[in-house]
Amino acid sequence: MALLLTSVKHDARPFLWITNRALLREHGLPYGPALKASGIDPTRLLLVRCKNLQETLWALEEGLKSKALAAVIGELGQISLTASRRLVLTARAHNTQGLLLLRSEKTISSAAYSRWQVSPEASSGVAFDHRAPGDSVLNAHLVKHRGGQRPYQQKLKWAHNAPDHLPVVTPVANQHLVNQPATHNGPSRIAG
Amino acid sequence: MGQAELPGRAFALTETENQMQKLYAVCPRASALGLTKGMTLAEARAIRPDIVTDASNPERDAKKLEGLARWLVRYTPLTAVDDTIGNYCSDGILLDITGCAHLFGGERAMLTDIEHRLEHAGIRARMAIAESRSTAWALARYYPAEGSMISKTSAESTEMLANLPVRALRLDSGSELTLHRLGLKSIGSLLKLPRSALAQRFRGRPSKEITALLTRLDQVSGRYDEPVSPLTLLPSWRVQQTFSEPVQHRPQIDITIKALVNKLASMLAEAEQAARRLALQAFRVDGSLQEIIIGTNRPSRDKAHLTRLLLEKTDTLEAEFGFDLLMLNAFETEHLPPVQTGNASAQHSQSASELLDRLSIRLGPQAIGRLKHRESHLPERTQTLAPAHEKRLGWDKSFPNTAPRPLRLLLRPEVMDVLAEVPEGAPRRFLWRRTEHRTTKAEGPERIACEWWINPEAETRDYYRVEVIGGARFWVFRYGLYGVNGVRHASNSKPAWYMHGFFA
Repeated sequence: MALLLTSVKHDARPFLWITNRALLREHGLPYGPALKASGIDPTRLLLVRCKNLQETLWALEEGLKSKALAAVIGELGQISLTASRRLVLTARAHNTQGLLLLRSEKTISSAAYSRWQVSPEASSGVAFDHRAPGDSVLNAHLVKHRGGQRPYQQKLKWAHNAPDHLPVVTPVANQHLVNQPATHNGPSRIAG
Repeated sequence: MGQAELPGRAFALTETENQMQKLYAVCPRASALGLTKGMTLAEARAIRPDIVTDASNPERDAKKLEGLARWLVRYTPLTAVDDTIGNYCSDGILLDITGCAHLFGGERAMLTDIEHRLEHAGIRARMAIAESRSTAWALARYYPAEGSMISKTSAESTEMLANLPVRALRLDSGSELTLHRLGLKSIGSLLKLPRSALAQRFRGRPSKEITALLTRLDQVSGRYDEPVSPLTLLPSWRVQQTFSEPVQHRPQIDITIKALVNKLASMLAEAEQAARRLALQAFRVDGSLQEIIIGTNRPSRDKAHLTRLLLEKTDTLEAEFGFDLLMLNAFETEHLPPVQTGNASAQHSQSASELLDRLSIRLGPQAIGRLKHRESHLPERTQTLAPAHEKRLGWDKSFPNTAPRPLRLLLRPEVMDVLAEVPEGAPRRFLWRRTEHRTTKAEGPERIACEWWINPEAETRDYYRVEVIGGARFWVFRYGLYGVNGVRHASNSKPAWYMHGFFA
């Protein structure tokens, strides 16, 4: 979700969040105070709760056609190739950004321009408390890109207090911090 | 109304009153034989043995009458069903046609038009036009001539009313009896008497009888005004389109709707008004009415937007034998000065509100929400869902939290099995949604106390931010504190652990 949010950050216009009740129950609502803390105004979020897939697809298309939105984010369980192609055409025709969160374990073929697979990774420690979780680390795997970009994987770090950019976590630095032994007396010393 | 024609037979509807079956309504053939309403069935059978009867259904009749009254809105917006007055139940419809008659070619032409249409729909009606409501009521029911009548001046009405029985004044039976005893059997005789004489004759009777009688007399002579309270809301603006042949097909209806919206929009633009509610009324040839209502977030007179909203709902129209009139009414209009085109931010906000209109018409207004801030200790209460058009969402006044908050919050915290250090340790292992997770890192506790002023029984929560093997991060809490002996402070059981949210 962090990736989604960075894509809507730099635009003051409202964005649409389309989901259905089952997914809301499973994954929860977007939480305002957290959005505000990461620099996104919660008043921009327009939550749309649909009853079934057909309504979700219709709402996605309507949102893409409107020129007043920063992005249209849809949370779905699955999508067919024809439906995704239709959405791509609409998004291109109206120049709106559309993002789909596909909550499914299977790989789904879709006509989207690019597809990312994001999975969490262990974080590195925090300076003053070695037991606390550090900043989120995500493994973003670009699986497919229409523009010809080769697939690649990248570890990105997302800090909740400086979410403007996702610095790339280099393997060396990461390993260095993780290998730090946990048994210490007194204040820990961080090198690197 | 709507009875099947049985050749050669008489037909009547019956109702049961005091275990006796009485006639509720009779067909013309039956009334020609002398059968009247209120007669017992036995008597009716004695007169005509082969009478066909069916049970009456007053509620269905009342509904049909109301439906017909709504259909008559095509002639004037001020229509109402006659109220039940004492013994006289509602079996008629009242229309205030002040200023409407010229649209239909005069009063006589209007009456003929209504008659023809009702006949087409299979309804027989008697009609009367007069300048006061009571006069029209009396004439329609008691005037001995066939067909419908018009009384143009009050002098003419007085003449027409002269020979009508006193019943036509809608008095209660006590007053009627008194008048009969006094020898006043017709309205004309009543009107000839000076009022003071009447008051004298009624001396000794309850005073409300005489006031009721005087009121009725005043109503009939037009001195006392009786306004019609209309059945439907009066629109601020209206455009309509009649068809020489009834339309049944969607494309024709859609084209007409587009044309009507264009006409209405230009009328609104000229008057610098915009509407928030539109009602499209489609009048069927069988005397019933179908309606589509749309509402917008902001007052609008944009042709494309309103047409699109209306066309979204035309699936609900059932034409059956066809519509012969489509009417578009605008309610809740507000002043809207001409808008300057080319202003980008205004255009954005307008198209955003138009998108909200379209979404809420199709998905229902509850489907759309915005996050609203609320002051509370409990994290699930600091945020509520507000309807889409709400402006004050309160986020500018919210204080930043000391500890980070999860990006997604579960609608209800889910209970889970946890292995943790007692009394204040973070979870080491937990079982949630049938998967076991082992934590690698944890931060906490963040103690959030209950809101004792709302619920003194609620317990303190200790929130922990945990990360498991694999990197996923969760926001969990323990509900209740450990007291002495590892048991919960307030109650007699161990505190429970809950899953509440997810971090990025």
